[in-house]
Amino acid sequence: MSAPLTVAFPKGRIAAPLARLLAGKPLEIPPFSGRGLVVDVSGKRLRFLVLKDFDVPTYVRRGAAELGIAGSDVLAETECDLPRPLEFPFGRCRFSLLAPASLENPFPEGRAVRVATKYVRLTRDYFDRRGMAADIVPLAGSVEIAPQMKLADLVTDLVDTGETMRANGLVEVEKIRDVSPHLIVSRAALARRRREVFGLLEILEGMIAS
Amino acid sequence: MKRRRAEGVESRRGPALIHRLPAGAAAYVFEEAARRRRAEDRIVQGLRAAGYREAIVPSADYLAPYLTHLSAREERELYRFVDRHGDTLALRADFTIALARHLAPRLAPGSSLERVFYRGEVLRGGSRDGAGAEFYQIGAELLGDPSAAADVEVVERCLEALEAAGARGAHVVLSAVGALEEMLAPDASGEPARRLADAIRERRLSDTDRIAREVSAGFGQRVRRLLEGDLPPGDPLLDRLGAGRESLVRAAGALSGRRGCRVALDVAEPPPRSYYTGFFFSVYGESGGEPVAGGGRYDDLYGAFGGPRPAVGFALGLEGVVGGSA
Repeated sequence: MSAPLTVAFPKGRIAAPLARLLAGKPLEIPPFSGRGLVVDVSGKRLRFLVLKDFDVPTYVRRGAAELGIAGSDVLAETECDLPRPLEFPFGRCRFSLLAPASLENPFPEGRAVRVATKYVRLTRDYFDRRGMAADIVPLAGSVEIAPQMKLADLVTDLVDTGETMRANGLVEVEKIRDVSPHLIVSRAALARRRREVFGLLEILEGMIAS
Repeated sequence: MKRRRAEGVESRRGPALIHRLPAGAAAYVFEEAARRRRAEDRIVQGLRAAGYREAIVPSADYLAPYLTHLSAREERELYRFVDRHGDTLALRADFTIALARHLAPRLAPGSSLERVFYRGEVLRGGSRDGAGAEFYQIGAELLGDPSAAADVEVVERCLEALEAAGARGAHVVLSAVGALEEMLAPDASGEPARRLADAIRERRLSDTDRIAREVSAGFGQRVRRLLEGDLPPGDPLLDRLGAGRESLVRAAGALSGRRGCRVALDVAEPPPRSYYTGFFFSVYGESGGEPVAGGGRYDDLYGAFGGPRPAVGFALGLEGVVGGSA
């Protein structure tokens, strides 16, 4: 019997709605409990790797997982060009440029704007398209406080309800792109286990549609 | 004195750099190095026995002649530098273009078949996780033969080389540049055809179904076969291909009985490099996420360097076969 199909599962903001979807029929994947990061689902021939969101494309691209779930923000930031057969109907949000609400002109005159972000590539591309110089401050999280702490003038980050943004005195200057979660698949998995992969995709497609 | 020298190393370069490797670089010593050389020797022996002669090309070259043959992404992967005369050079990221550049002027016009092989390091940067920045490539080219038989020969040589290196199992994906568009053409054209081809290449199930339904009611089933990408050699969709059909069908037939080899005709597979003009293939091993080998036809490349002739070839990355940086 062949090894289980391995799915890279992101433990970030889409983990909860994704787990709810997977718990539905016919897959009925029980919630991942405990601290184990490799979860074998008995009887389903599926293995889940519980990973940081930004690590999902690496696991799939390097063949450690056949499939994975990642936001289009992560896929764009990591320049992931793997096939993405399914889009999930939850976890949709936007990637936006944010500025302190008190700021009259978000772009300082006479110097490059300083922007804090987890998304260095997407932010650089955005300012390139605008034809503006930007000094990018890479951060791993809590980027919303960077303007308060004088670390940056602006921030780029995901905005869902906008609650965190407002709680930190920020307003949305511009939406840069829409973001949604996608299922990605390794091309090697398509070559090696095409039938199994498409079998699982059809099941997931049905679960998303229902 | 010893103490001063140690301090000097620390202050100029930092102590960590004594042991640290650049992203994607690898060093092999002792038995690991010997194992690699043995695999390389077996591959080279097989190629020589099949009549392929070795070509050696520079590991760095002027950038300009290469640029028109690279996609934006391939160009970003280059390690480039400025030499002491102010010219921009790039480290070798691929043998095929280099070989065309240096071999084309040396080939007599209309000369007969040439079988050439090469080996050496290539360097490609740009990957976020540093994967595969440096790897050892061995490949072969068959010049002057536009036939499907030449395409089949090259795929077979590639699989022989992989076997010689010790690869167990090969999953071969056969495709051709433009084949997907040719298969869609009788039903869809213009913008819908372009959107449909994009959706199929990205295997986007619902987008593909939706766009296909917009084109015509019964189109969805046919298009789904293209998306799933395992057409049987007798599939009527292949009849929509022109000259490219023969290479695909003959290669699939030739490889189908081969031990440890599984073949798929998948016209949604992207070509390994942007200079391919027709038939191409990717070979995946039993593990790893990237192809261990790939190849195809690049009939325009030699003409760009003044020696027009059809060409088909393959290359494999030794690390993917014998282990090492993936």
